[in-house]
Amino acid sequence: MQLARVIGTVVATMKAPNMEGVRLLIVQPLTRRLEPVGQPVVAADALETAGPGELVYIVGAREAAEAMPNRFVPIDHAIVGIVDAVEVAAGGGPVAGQPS
Amino acid sequence: MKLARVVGTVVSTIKSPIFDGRALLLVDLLEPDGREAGGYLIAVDTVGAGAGETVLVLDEGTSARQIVGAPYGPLRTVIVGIVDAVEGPAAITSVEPHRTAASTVSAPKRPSRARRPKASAAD
Repeated sequence: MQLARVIGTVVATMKAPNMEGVRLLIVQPLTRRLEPVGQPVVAADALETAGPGELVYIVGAREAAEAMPNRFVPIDHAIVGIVDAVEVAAGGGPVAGQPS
Repeated sequence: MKLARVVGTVVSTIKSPIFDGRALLLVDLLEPDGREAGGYLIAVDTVGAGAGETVLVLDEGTSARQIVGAPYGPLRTVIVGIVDAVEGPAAITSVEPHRTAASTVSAPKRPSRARRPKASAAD
């Protein structure tokens, strides 16, 4: 799992039948110091509560579909948690948390 | 499986049910010689690992769910062991050609496992 920031939403009317009702968000993967890394990806919101600007963690590959109520949905990234805080031990780097 | 070092925790209230009651640890991936490999993972702790410890991380869903005894759920990355030492040629830093005497990189000293309570769940 990796940290990511929600940076947008995707609206798609025509999509695979199993994807109906799946909330799609654009997320930017982050380093553990919360710096953007790599390309943004479209992730399904398994929690149905994540919104733009929020710090979340995502899971990729087959496990993304495991997060959804219908386990046979064609997705490859899912938001599986909303981050309250990232607590880094001494010497491990800056402490970062959810913006207020 | 991958070698990694525990550097922190992720606190999360709203999450998939499979993570309820489980500690989410932030781990930096390591080279066999102990250098940072670049990259990190958020992993579910199953062994009571603490900050600074070198651990063994499993990043595959079916095995991960088997370990926690859950048939379904978006669990993929788990800490499955605490590393005492990495031995052999792999433990020698290749960019330091003069360093040949020590072929063992020990994990950071850790407190007694008997006295330390298991890492509490981040919930």
